[in-house]
Parts: sequence; structure tokens; C-alpha cells
Amino acid sequence: MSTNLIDTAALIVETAKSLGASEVTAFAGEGTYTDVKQRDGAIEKWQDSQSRSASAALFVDDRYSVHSTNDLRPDALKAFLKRAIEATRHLQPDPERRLTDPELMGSTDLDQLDLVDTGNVEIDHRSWVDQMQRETTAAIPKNLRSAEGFVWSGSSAQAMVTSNGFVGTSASTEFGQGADVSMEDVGGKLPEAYDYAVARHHADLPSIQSIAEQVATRGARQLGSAAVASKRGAMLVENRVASRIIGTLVGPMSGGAIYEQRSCMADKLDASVTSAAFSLIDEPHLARGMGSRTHDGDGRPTERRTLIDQGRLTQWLINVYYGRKLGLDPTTGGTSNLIVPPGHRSTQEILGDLDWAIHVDGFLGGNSNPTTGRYSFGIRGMLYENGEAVAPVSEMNISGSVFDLMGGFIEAANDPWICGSTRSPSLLFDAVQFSGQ
Amino acid sequence: MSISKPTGASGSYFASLGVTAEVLRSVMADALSKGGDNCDLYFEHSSSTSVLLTDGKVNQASTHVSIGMGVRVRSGDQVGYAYSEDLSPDALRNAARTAAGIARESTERDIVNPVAIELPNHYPVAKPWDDVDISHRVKMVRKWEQAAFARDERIQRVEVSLSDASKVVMIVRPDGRLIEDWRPMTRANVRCTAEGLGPDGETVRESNGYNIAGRAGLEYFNEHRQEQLVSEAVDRTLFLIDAISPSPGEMPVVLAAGPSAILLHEAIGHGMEADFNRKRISIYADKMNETIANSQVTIVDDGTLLGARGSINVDDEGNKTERTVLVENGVLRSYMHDELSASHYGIQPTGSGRRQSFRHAPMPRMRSTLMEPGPHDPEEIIASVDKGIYCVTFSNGAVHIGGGDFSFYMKTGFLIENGKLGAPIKDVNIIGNGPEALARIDMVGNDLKVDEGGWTCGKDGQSVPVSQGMPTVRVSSLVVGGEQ
Repeated sequence: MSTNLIDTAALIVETAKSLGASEVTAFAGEGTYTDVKQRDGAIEKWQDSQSRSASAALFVDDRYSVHSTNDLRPDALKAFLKRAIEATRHLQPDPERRLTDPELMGSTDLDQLDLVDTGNVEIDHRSWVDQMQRETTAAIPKNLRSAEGFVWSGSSAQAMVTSNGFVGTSASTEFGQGADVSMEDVGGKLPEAYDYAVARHHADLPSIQSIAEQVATRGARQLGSAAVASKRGAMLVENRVASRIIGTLVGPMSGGAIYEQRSCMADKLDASVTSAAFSLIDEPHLARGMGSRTHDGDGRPTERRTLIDQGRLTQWLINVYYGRKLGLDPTTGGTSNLIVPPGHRSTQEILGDLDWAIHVDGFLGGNSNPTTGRYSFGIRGMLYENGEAVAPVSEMNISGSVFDLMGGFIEAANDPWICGSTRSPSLLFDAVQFSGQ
Repeated sequence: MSISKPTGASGSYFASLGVTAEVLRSVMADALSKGGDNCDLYFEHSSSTSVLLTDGKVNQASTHVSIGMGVRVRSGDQVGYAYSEDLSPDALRNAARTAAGIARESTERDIVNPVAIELPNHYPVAKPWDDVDISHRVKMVRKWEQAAFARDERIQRVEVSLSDASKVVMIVRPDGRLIEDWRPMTRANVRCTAEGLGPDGETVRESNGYNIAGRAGLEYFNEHRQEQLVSEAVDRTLFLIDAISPSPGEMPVVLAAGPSAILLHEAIGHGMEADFNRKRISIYADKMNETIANSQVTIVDDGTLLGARGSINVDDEGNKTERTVLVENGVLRSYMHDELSASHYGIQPTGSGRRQSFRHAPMPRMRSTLMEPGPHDPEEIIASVDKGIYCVTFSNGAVHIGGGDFSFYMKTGFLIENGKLGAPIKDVNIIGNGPEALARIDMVGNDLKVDEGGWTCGKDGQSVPVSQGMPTVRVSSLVVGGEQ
């Protein structure tokens, strides 16, 4: 598979060079997916996808542009690149836009990442989705309006070739299953709940039954929810939605935000940005990880990085371009698998120690301001008092400064969520401002 | 790099790429070869160009081209979908046979020879982008940057982008309909970072911006729009320097005319997309012809506004678009239907079947969602509130369709104290329940304004361009974020 892709990317490099580009980075990719949904006993949608793509970053006389196309007919591709190069000449020069120095380029071992399931599993999507939906329906004896099961499988591959000699490839498979349900609640409300799992290898998926049971638990938890009074208090954010908080923290760490002075992290390098109980690691070499990779977008080999070390911001996410602009050594332009180290106690043990806490299991909308670090998110979840679930909560907001929020971080639970490129356990914060009735 | 409006007869654009009437018939025959009730072929060739100014230089451009065909086969309420990025007859037929697998019989179906249907034109273009070279775009972007810096000395950084996109789509149906549409789009975005003294005399750094979009050519950027693009971007950024966080809690909320229509989109619009109702999972299922709002409230979803970002000459299933009245004087009158939901309910589709691209099956989507003007002066509405907030601009929103909970993020606004606008406020999320919020709209202004912002709606992994508009309204109570 990837030999073809390398050839395609190399052809783009060669063609663009022959048409006048001084340097080129080309990517070629392809993917195959099957995606099936079944609702209440009948297949709702079955989609088979086969896609391909090619893109190029062109450096033309110190000028820079990026282009993508899926029209890979040789004449169309040549005409596309010719127009792209011509357009680039009309831009203003940007001398920092150059390829990465060859001695800084390279990849780590792709095979070690184990991202491809070579088990040749014969997948019968029809019976898989049927079982997923039926077991979910069976797990919910009352108040169920409708249940949908969904399953997908696919594979993708990409090649990156640069005009100064770098060749990198990646390939992965993906298998996912889940269900969502609508519950019948008071006042004609039909609150939804869902759960899913995704894995690089089919054998790593948890049982269908465990997902069905999780959906049932989450569905029941939605019933009768309402806002409680505004209060400042403890918040335990469930593992699978903690990425919302992590993202708010990581976004302003990007080199672009730092350089453009749109970052609340701009004056925080080596400073404390969270409580000492919090650390955040970018780990690109996690076997079978959803975000694992051998090289970054600059063609530099990936490495494990501790971004926040016991509260201290150790580095920004600086790619080669912004490294040149800022006069700093580049780190990497984007994250791979973000890991928050788990703690030792279960969520129940943590909640048992608190006289009042809201266990947040979902966010609804909201946003954050990367320049100031202010955030405001809609939430839903469960109010706990002295370890007991007291009332399901919805239609509430949390608001504040990300530094206050993270400064109030107390503890990570022992339940890391492994489905996704953010692997966080449930996270406990103190003195969060909730707004409600 | 822009695709020119085709000048030939409808259907000739893709015919010139080898997709002849004979090919179309054979592909549809394959699509229905296993007994599907109906099918549609959606061909699309799209391209876009953008230029970006950062750090004082127009130093980045990008172009994107995409071509392909999606085939959907329907069997009752079931859908099989596949697509091909290769328009050769073999590749198209292969995709059709894959999508056909949703059905399980083998019957002969009549395929009528495709005949082109003429369309209205809701987006006439005077100066198409394919006549505009990159250097002209570079000049425009530089001019906006300089105007932003000139407007206020507190502006420290300016980023500007200018994009245009165009696509030719062709929809072909076994009943003989062939529809070709050319869809232009342009969007400009100015972002600023400013530094100044905040309300407590401390130094505050803030970023914000403004963007506008429409289905238009270069003529869209008349002097007035260019001035407004820059002045709004600068003023909205400076506004944040002086603004504070409101106190949290439940309170009356007055929504300014224009962008506040994000409330309509999230709290009401999505729940009235008929797929959720067909599946009986929307909070508005089973409410047809019931009173769901104050009699001042009339809400429409309109695909025909001249040059609006959300306008379409035809929907992506090949059905006529229209102005659909969703709520009339407080009574729920219609959902937004694609063919699937319309046939389920035994009615005509409302031309609301839309998709992101040929890689996706269509579903009911909003176009331009508007609330019609009501009887009140906006000043009267503000004066009616003792203690609450007045929301002016927004950045995003979200909704849970079944539970009805929705939220939208207010970027700028004011406190209201004793019927008067007070301190400027910023960056709070507002949350509520759709039907409850709709029922709590108790004053509607007479100042309907269609927002020109470049809104994009996401649903089930697909993004489509939309527009929205609203007069000033009062919602008697919503939960507002903020810090004590």
C-alpha cells in the first residue's frame, strides 16, 4: 500500500520542482472505512468509503503556500501544481518558511507502534451492529425511547516525502463500536446517553455487553435532571470528557498562539500553571495508541515530552517555523497521545470524601479564550453529597480562569480512559464556580 | 483557483469529464439492481483559494480541489451509501453496486433518461473570483490590515484571511431529473490582538475578530462591507479590554438583533430537523400543530435569500428549495424535511436535504433560519428588564436534541440594570432548555437583522454553511455563566 503512496508523493515533489518550486513537502494518503448504524432492529445507514488525497507545501523563492487535491489524474495534477506555483509567486516573502534541516529529520520505528491489526479478522458488520444494538436495548428495561448501535472499521495510510530527502510513512487500522439511546423522561424530554470504544486492534475492544451496560447506566443517570443553585464547589470530571479541560490548557501552548500573542501561556514558560499534583505528558510511542506516530509534520522524529511537570510548564509546542520566528529550538508542532498520570483512588472513594461535589459526565457547548485563559462551559452530571448521588444535574455552567481551575486541581482517579488520543483519568478540582438556579 | 460557472447546458459539465447520459443510466441501474426503492447520484467538483496575512505580511496561500460522486440507495427508511473519487464508468458503477447492498431483492427498475431541469438563481455573481488574480486578493487583505491598525493605537497584531470557493454539483435521479447547480462562496476574517488598561487599571491583552460570508463574487466587498469588516473586528476586540464577567445565575436575557439567532439555531432549529422527529428522538416529536411559543414568535427556514451563505438553488437531493414556516404565531407548523423524512410522513420535502460533500449522505439541515419581526421597539425591551444581561455577539453553540438542553457562548454584551445598559461583559456560556426557552420568549422586537457572519453548522460529522437572523427578543429566564 505505502509503496504506491510514496510514489505518488515523490511524483508531486518531482513535478513541483520541475515547474519551478525550490522546495516541496508532499503527502499522499488513502483510507477505507465501513460505517454501519442500526436503530431499533433495522439497519439505518451503511456507508462504505474509499478515499485518497494528496497535498503539497510549496516553497517558491522564499514564498510559501499549501495545496490539496484528490484529482490525481497526471494532467490534472500537473495543471494544479502549475497554478499553485504561479499563485505562490504573488505572495510576500517569508524567509523562515523552509524545509527542516535534513540532519534534524527522521522517524522512529513504525512497526514498534503496532498500529495495524494484521489479524485478518473477518468482520461481519451486520451481525456486529445487530448485537451492539440489541444488547443495549436489552440492558435498558424501562424508559427507553430508542436505541441505536454503531460500528465501524477501517484502515488508512500516508506517505510524506520532502525534496531534501525525507521519506516517512504511517499506516493504521481502527475498529469502533458503541451505542446511543434516547430515554423517556418527565415533561416530554428525551435525554440522550452514549458510550463507545475504539481500538487499533479488533481484539482490544471491550465486550459489547460492557458498553451496553455503560450506556444503560448513563441513560438512567439522565432522568429527572435539573439545575441546582449556583455555588462554588468541588468538581470531578469524568475520564472520557476530561479532554475538554486538557484541550483548554494545551491550545494556548501552540507556537502560533505564542508568536501571535494570542496565548495566556506566553509568559508562563517554567512557571507554575497548575497545582503540583498535575502533570501532562505527550507520548507518541504508545503501542496501539490512537495518537501514536513516528514523525511530526516537519519530518522530525517524535519523542516523549513532559509538557507540564508537577505543575510547571516545561515547554511550548513549537514547530520548526515558529521556532525560527521565536528564536527557539523547536519541540513539536502538535501533540500525539496526551497522558495525565492516573492516581490511586477510585472515583467512588474520591466522592466519598467530599461533602458536596458535582460529578461532570458531559459538557454542552461553551468556549475558552486562549488569550486570557477565561473559560465558560455548559455541563451535566450528578450532584453528590457525602458520597451519595443526590440529584442529576443539567442546564448549568462552569466559568473562571483556567489557571484558577488548574491551580485547584487536587487529584486524578485510577481510571484512565484509553479510547482516544487524550488518556486522562477522572480529575478532581476544588472551588469551581457553578452557575445554576 | 476557482471553478467558473459552467456556460453549457445543464449536465454538460460532467459529461465533458466522461459522465454521459448513458453512463448515468447504467450507474443508476446498478444502484437499484438489488431492489432499492430509490437512489440519487451526487457529482461534485469543488475548489477553493485563500490568502492569509499574519505578522504584517501576506505570506501564505492555500488552494484545495476535490472531485467525486456519491451514490445513495434507499430501501424503506434504510440507506446504503458509497462514493468514488474517480469518475470513470467502472469506478462509478462499482460504488453504485456497493451502495445497492442495503436492499436484498432483485428486481428490474425503469431508469428514465435524464433531462435537465432549470433552476432559479438565488446567488447571482457580478464579478466571479476566477477573474480575480492572487495579487488583487493580496492588496485587499493588506488594505484591511492597515485600516485595522489605523483605527486604534491599542491594536498590536492583525491577522486577515480572504477565501473564496466554488463548486459545480449535479444531481441525477432515476425518475429522469438532472439538476446542475453552481455554488459560489466567499468569506473574509479579520482578527486583532489589543492591549490596554482594563476596568481596574491593569494591563489587559485581548483577541477577537469579525468575519463575513456570502454566496457572491468580488462585488460582495463593497466599500461599506469592507469598512464594517475592519471596524467590527477592531471594536469587538477593544470592547473586551473594558469588559467584566457577569455574576452567575438565572436571569432575564435580552438578545440583540442579528447574531443572537444562534439561539434559534440551537434551541429550536435542530430539534425541528425531521430526521430526529422521524426517529422519535427530538423533544419536538409529537408536537405538530401545538402551541409551543408566544404568539409573537414566527420562525422560518429560508433557502432563497439573495446571496446568503445558507442559500441554495436546489437541495442536495435535487429538490426545490423554499421558505419553510416552522413556527407560525407560536404554533409548530412544519419540520425541515429531506426525502426520507418526507416520505415517512407522507408529505413533500421542504428542500432541506443537504450534505457536506459527495463523501456524505444528505440529511435535513437548516439553511437561513430567521425569526420574523414582532411588535416591540428594541429600547422598550431593554427598558423592561430590572436586572439581567443584553447579549450582542456570540461565538458558538450546541444542543442535545432529545433532552432539549442547548447552550450558546456570548462573546460580548452588557449588564442591564434598572432598564438601562450597564457595564460591558464578555466570555460567558448561557444554557437553557429549547422548548422552555422558546416558551419564555415574551417580547419580540421590530428590528429583524440577518447576520452576515460566516456560520457553519455541524451535525453527525458533516459541516454545511448556514445563515441566521433575528430581531431583538427578551427571554424571561436563562442560566448565565460567570464568576461571583
